[in-house]
Amino acid sequence: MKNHSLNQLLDERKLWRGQQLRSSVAVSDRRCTGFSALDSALYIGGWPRSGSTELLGEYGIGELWLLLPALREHLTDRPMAWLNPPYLPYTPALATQGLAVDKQLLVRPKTLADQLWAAEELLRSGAYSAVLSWFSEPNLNDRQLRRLHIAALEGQCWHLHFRPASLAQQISPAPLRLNLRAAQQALQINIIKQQGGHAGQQLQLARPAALYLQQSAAVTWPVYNSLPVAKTQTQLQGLRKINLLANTAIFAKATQQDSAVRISKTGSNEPSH
Amino acid sequence: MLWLCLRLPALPLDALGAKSSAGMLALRHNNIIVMANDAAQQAGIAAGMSASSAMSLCSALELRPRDLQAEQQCLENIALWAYRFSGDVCLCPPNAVLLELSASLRLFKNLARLYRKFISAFRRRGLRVQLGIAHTPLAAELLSHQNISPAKLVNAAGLLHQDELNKALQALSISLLPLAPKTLNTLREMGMRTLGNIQDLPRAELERRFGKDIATALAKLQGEQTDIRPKFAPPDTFNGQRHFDGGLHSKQQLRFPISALLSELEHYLRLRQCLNRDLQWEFHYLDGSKEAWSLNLSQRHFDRRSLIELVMLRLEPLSLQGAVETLSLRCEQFIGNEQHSEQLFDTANSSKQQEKTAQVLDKLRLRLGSQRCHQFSLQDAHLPELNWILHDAHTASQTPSKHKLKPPAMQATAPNSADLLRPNWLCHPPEAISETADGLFWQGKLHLLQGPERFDGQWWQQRQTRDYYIARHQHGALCWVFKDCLNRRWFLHGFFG
Repeated sequence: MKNHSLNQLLDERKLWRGQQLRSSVAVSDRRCTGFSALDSALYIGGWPRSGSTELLGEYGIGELWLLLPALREHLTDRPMAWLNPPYLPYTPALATQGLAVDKQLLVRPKTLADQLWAAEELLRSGAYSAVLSWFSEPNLNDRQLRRLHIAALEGQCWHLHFRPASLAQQISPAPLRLNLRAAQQALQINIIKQQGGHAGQQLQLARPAALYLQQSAAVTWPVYNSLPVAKTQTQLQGLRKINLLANTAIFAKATQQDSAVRISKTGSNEPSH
Repeated sequence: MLWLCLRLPALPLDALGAKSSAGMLALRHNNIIVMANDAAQQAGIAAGMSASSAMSLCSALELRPRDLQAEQQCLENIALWAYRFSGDVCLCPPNAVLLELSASLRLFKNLARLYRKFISAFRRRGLRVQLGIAHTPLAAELLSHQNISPAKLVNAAGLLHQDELNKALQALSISLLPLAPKTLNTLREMGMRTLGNIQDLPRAELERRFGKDIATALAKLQGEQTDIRPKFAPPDTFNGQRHFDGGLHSKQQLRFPISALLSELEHYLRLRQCLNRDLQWEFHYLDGSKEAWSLNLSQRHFDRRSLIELVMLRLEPLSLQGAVETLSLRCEQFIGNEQHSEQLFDTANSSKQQEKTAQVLDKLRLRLGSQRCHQFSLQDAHLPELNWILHDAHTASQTPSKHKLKPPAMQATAPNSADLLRPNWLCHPPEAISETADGLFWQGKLHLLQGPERFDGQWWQQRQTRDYYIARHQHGALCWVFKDCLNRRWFLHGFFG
């Protein structure tokens, strides 16, 4: 009897077996993220090819950098679209990273209704392989989110939905939701939800080190003032200034003797002015 | 040579679209009845009566003035339609169109089949037509008055029976010949009734007696003298109209006539082997006012179904000012049809892709306005805000070969330019950063990480000297900030997204 009602529930698709889901996600349905750590954390082994993926977080923390490898691959197939981005995508930089300039469309509708309409058209058309969307009102209701997701599935389009982190606790029909946060020289990714697998994985992807190249603090940088140097300058102050110069590349190889000569020169010349 | 003549005996009535009205109707021209419909004919109205005597015969008669312009237009439409069967179409005013068919017979295989096609097409439109077929244009024209069924003239193999044709020609009345009335009268008085009678007479004697006209007419009839007619060419612009008695009130009702007009346009485009760039619609309201609206297109194929959706989308924001009496469509801009051969694999898919892209773009531009859809292109310039441009989105890659060359070149230079750190997001225009005692502040504290990178450019216009730094925002974002060396102010110019 029990078994019978269970079968009935399964027939009505109110319940489903996790194992069945696993087989239904074919290898072709995913796309490598370009980061092996993220690939292994994601249940299907990469980004989904179609449907909504939510990325919650601020901008400027590496959210585009995270997507670049996948987008590069997407662009070989079909163009991509930016829908109402908060800032302008800087195409020269994106082009050097492999996103072809002529395959990007920027759409900036005014009202939320137009944005939703444009998103649905773009997703459903099948002409775009990826649509990156921001909405002026990020707190969309369940019906709107579901429509976008279904449109993306129909159009075989990867919908990247950027939303603020404050919405992480809200329910969303998107099968994959990631929380992005800036960490020390890295991007911290929290998987909030993923279809078919456990969520809650946390990982850090180190961002390119060149970005974080630390130089000596700006306070200690030489300041080139047009004002004349104070006349009551002691030799010690002069020495400190030269030392600072010596740290820079030009003077790095200068011998101590040279600098000593210079000290005497500056020391003797300046008072005479 | 094989000429087919399409004669519309009821053209003046058909041109008015009056066939549907069941009541008695007659057309007058200078107060003389020109033509009456079946109902009126049964009541005794005949062509040639004066309008007043017709009205006295039958008071319920509706009299309308004859519209010669509409007749001409209707005839041209038929010629345009006939143009699909033959490249050699001529107008024979007042009510006939001639087609040269020998070249198209091979395409349509069989004369009898072609015949059936014509007759069924006219029946669908509710037009009465008489066909005449012969080896010379004049003979076809004369035979069309008789409307001899094709079964008699065409044999099983679809060829003309020469004997039957001659017999039919000889039985024609002489009054059909294009001769002066005086000549015709004299001939009739001589006892000549049919064309056969005249043909039997010696040609030279006839010419001496009645002048050169009769000899040339007979020579043209026999094909002994060439009969050159001006060829019909499709007009340079497309014009279509639908008229609704009583008017239409809702946009949904307009959908059907719009679709019909578009299919007319589709035929026109196929004839001219071109594509339209615009659709100019016009509503004529019952009160006489007009409203025009237009639509620009960027498609590379004519797809009626998707066009209807576009037109309905365009119609959505418009509100009808009243009942629409006439809907007209006009197209003026055309481009040649791109005939490019597809590759067997792969690219067949991509052209479909481009078609889809063009459709979506059209839709987006229609609803959002073209100033809200952009595409990028790169430009050589030093300053970050100048080395790209946004331009209005147009059809993806009209020149696909040019774009395809780009990416490899880009990759070749990639290792070089990857050394430069450039942000993925650009603030345009740059946002001012305030300088406080604690340092730089823009929605949080900024901490400079590395720099400066000096940009110095535009000296030929207005010199810009900037020192760019990478800064870390209090919240963890990496920002691209610069100090304008000329006015010593700080600006935020991008994010390393």
